[in-house]
Amino acid sequence: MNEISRKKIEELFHRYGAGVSRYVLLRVGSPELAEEITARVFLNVVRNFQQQNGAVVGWLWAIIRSELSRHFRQHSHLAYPADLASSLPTPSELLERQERDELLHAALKQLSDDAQQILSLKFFLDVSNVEIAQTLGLTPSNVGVKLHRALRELRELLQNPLAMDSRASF
Amino acid sequence: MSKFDDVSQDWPDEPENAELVSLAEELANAAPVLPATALARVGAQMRAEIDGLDRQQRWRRVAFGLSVAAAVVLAVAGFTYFRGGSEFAQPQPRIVRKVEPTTPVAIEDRVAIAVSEGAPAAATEKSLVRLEEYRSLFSD
Repeated sequence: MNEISRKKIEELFHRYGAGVSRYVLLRVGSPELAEEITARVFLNVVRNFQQQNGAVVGWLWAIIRSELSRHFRQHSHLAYPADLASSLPTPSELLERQERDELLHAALKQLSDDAQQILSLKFFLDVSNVEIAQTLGLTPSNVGVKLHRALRELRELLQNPLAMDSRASF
Repeated sequence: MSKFDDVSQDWPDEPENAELVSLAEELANAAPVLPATALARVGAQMRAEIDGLDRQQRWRRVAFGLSVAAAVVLAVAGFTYFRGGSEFAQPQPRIVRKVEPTTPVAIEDRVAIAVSEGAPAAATEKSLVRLEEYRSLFSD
């Protein structure tokens, strides 16, 4: 691997590493599992970097999806852990945050693939509308409209938690 | 640029937009963060993988170089062997025939004729050409 590739991978990790781990942690609930899956994502990045061409964010997202999908196939029996937000100070806040995370986790699972992708790129990987547009082959204004629609879809799910079923969309 | 600088950009003008922006903020802040040490471990694994790939590629290059060198040596050795003149080439056994120098031999053919002594032999009664019979052919 040449020095340029090594530098690009380092940049990719520096820019998206935390976002990927946050998204994965929200999806799987366990920090240990999230660390393992995030590591697998970036090991895949290293192994397949030479084959990558095109938008790097879209490629990274595809790897994240694939690794999460593999995880859920292998561990479909695992429940979302209840001790996720251990860093919060008070028990009531802890409980509140735990409930919110669980709800978000469930709602994200119910979202359509398009909505999941656009929300994750925007709010977890912290990608700008212009970059999302380049990744998905859309115009930036189209990304804005899709983002609006995805947030509305998420809000509806969060407002009606009983409407959510237990199906995982991954 | 912050992730919220363009969050409501290009949105259709609807009364619920403010509510959706606050949901977006909540979503961005909701997800728990993996501890920095865990992320550092992920980074270390990734770098170890890069180093491992580097080592593999270096060995592959060395092996490729060696195999090319071996192929060249074999080709040169084969060429010189079959063309001859090589120190590796075995000399072909030659059949040497010793030829003695020869001296010309005179060939003699000897015929023994016995000549009887006394009176010569009488001429043969009948001549080979009957001249008397064809005398007219010679006269004028």
